[in-house]
Amino acid sequence: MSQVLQRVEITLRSFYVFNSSLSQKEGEERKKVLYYYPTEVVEYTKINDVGLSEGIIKFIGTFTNEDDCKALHTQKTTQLFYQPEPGFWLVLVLNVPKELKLKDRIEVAEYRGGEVSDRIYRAVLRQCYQMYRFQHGPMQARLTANLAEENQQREQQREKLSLELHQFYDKYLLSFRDLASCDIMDMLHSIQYLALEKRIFLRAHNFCKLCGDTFAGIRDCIMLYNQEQIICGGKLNASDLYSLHAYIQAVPKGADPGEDGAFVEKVTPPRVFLDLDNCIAPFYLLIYRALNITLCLFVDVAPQPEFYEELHAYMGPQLISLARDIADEVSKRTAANLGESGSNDASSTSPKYLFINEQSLKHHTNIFRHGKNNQKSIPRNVMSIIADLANPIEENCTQTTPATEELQVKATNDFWVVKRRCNWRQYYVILCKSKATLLDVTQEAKRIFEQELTDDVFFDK
Amino acid sequence: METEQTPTPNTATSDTNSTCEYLDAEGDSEHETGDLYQEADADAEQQHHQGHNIISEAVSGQTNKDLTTSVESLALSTSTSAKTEDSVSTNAVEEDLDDYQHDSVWRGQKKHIFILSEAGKPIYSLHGNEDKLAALFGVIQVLVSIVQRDQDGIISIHAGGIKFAFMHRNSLILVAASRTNMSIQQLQLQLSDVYYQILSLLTHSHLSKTFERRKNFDLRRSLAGSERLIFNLLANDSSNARVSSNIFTFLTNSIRVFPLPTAVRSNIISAIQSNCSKVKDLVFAVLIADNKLIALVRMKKYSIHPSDLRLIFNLIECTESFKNSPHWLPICLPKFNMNGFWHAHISYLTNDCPACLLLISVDKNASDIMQSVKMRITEKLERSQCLQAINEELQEPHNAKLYQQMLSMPELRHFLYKPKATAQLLFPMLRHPYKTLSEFERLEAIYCSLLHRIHNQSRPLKLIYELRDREVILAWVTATYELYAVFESIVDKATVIKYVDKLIKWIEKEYDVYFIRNHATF
Repeated sequence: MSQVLQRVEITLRSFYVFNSSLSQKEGEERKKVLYYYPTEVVEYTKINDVGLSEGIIKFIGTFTNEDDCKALHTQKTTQLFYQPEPGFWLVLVLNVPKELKLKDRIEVAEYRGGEVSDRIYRAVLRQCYQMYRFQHGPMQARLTANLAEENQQREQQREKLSLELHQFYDKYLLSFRDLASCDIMDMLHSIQYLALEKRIFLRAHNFCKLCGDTFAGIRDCIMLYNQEQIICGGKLNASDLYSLHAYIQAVPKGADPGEDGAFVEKVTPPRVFLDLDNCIAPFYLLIYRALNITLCLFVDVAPQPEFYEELHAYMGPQLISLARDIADEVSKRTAANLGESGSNDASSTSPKYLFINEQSLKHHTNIFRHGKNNQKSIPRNVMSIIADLANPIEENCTQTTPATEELQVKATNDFWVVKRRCNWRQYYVILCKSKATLLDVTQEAKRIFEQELTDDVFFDK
Repeated sequence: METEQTPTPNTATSDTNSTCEYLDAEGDSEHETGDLYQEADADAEQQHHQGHNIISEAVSGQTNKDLTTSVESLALSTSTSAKTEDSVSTNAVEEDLDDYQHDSVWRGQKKHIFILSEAGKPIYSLHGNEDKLAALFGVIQVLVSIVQRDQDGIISIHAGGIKFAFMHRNSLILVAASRTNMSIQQLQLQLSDVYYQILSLLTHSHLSKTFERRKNFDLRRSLAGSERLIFNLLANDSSNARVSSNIFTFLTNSIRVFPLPTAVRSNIISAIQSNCSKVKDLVFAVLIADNKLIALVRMKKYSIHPSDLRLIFNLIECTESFKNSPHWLPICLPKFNMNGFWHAHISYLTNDCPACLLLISVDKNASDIMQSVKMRITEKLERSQCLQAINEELQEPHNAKLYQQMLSMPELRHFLYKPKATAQLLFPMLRHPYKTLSEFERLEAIYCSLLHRIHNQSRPLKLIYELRDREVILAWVTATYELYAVFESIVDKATVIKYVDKLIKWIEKEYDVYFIRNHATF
């Protein structure tokens, strides 16, 4: 009947930041648009798009006081809304996937908005803000001028904030990874922790704690393996840890420290904003590398050269030795895993699992174990089904008692997803078995839960 | 030609799609025409006014054409004066909206439905006086037209705790707001039911012409008196604080069948067939009782879409006066032909048998013939004890055999069963705990979410098994049926499987009592 000629995946149409209170007078509408991507778009369009968003927000205000607009769906777009600070709205506009089809010899475009998961892309949008805040702090803090009097100062501050947003987002949006492949991991903002044997984990943990105790200026200390997996996460809240994790991956490796540890940047350490004890405050981030280990230290004041030397002398030898032991342990584990599960582990039909701790946002999974290139082993619809089933982790988790659920679904392509949730943890097992019955799948999932949940990485240590 | 017009053996094709039908309801071709239809053209206007008055006032047969035309011309003049008034009193209107904005009852309604014209003219609001909502209608109109400027259309808006579904068709903008678990697709199905209800009263071509002539036309005048039909369609769910099973047929885009022993049903069908086969221009004979279909006999090659049948059920359910005397009125079945009227003879069989017979004809002058056909059918049904059988079933509080079956599975609280080949639905009476509103709301929410996930367009599912705090739920779609079942939360998986097996076997055995495989032809 109809034949798909071409498929266009999700693309970014626009992204903007606005605050309606910044334009008090008619004719000054452009002032409320703090940032708009793509920058080259004519001002008229920018103002119109923001106007539509304002209209939608106002429309919803007729029915609810919550000021909580989440999404607008049109045939061609999905628009996600996020208001991280009162009055400041971020809007992410996506072109939905499109299929060009030949129907009765006529080319027709079919828009497939249903494939776009709001939850995933709202989380992507939320991260757009979190990353900005991590590096620049809250937006409102930039606009301190009194509304009534200091008109000129107010305008200067507005322009400065707008400039800063431009500098940040022009670069950040370039690094936006392939939007079409965003999935449950992007939605939950969870991070894979390095699986370590208890004794060695405790050594790493104690090392971080000792650093903080020995040097009064150090507020927190985070240790990563290969810049990727977290070894210990310190006191950072889950969302800041996720931002740090993303930030670190973008930091150039710097000169090879060789057999000695070294700081990546000593002259102008970056300033970042952390939400510690419910107060967002700036800190200096010192990054220290020793072999495969990256250590992130947060300090209150810009350190003097002596401080670096003292720290280096203290940490270097201990960290090198720790790094060696961890590397040994990791290679042992990898060898063991390969031997155990054989080479077919990456195939699409072998069982997959994903466990998430909602409170610490640690995750444990074999979905990406063999590198990110293999992630297509799970079909898109199954990944989306998991995103539908997952309990979103919003910034303000208001639930007091975690619900207990158990759920099994079978997709039309014979993939089964088994979900369990209890005690703030979500567990998923993905099986591909067309002939299996409900009871078979229950058995198989139970086996995997029991086998994998013994893994000490997943439990709080 | 429409797919629905295919002969019976193929009804499967149209019916299988029917659950997802609402997803592409937009795609309905606008120029379908049944050969048998007379085009609603020159005298369509009069016809529709007739129909309208009859339906709304439910006075018998004849109407005064002169009167209706004068009403129409009067309406014309008021509309122009109303327009000037509007522009003066916008401030007052905004204050009115403010009234509602501060009215926590209005704001907190679980569901809102708004209908307006493309020009922003209020047509209908489920809650509140639509005149007082003119400012809100204005906002909706602006939002819709801004998005339309980019050759795009609003589908939905989502906010914390409330969502909005939009539908824009043929000069009408329909918006549903809901605080329940209903999905956007389900809300759109409801909007499309309302849209078809309006078409059924006015026809598509009349509606188009009206707005072509005057963008600013106030459609409320044409719909006056029919609000109850729209209201009854919308008040199907718990948002109206009513425990009603109607929601299940709406959610599954299906109808219910009146349970009858196979022999009785075939007697009824042959009584209809023998009396109708020689009647010229008779297209459908539909027999209904208690909101369920007893029999549908049709002209070869024609069939009625479930959504059209639901409109017929709605009309009968809402019109008490059909019980007093037979009526002859124009009716548009929009899924069949949205541009033309047919003529329906509607009457209850006898004073003691509350089964309602519709005889739908192409000929607008066939009223007397239909009346005599009806008399002959009734006589025959009386003689063959069929009326008695219908009455016996009606007197039971619920179907006895189904009730027995439910008693044998105490942990099974409720289920919906829909064969894939027909758009018909079987479900048991509501039992404890779902007889109270709050529990019923939960049941409704469960079915909304199951149906939504099973029929999700981009990622459909075949099976869902879920253990919740208060119940165990199962949804299962096979090649031949869809089953949704709700169990006590303490039940184990093996029992669920055992019961489902048992239920399916029983339904298969009793299939012809609860379902109609093929609708007979004259």
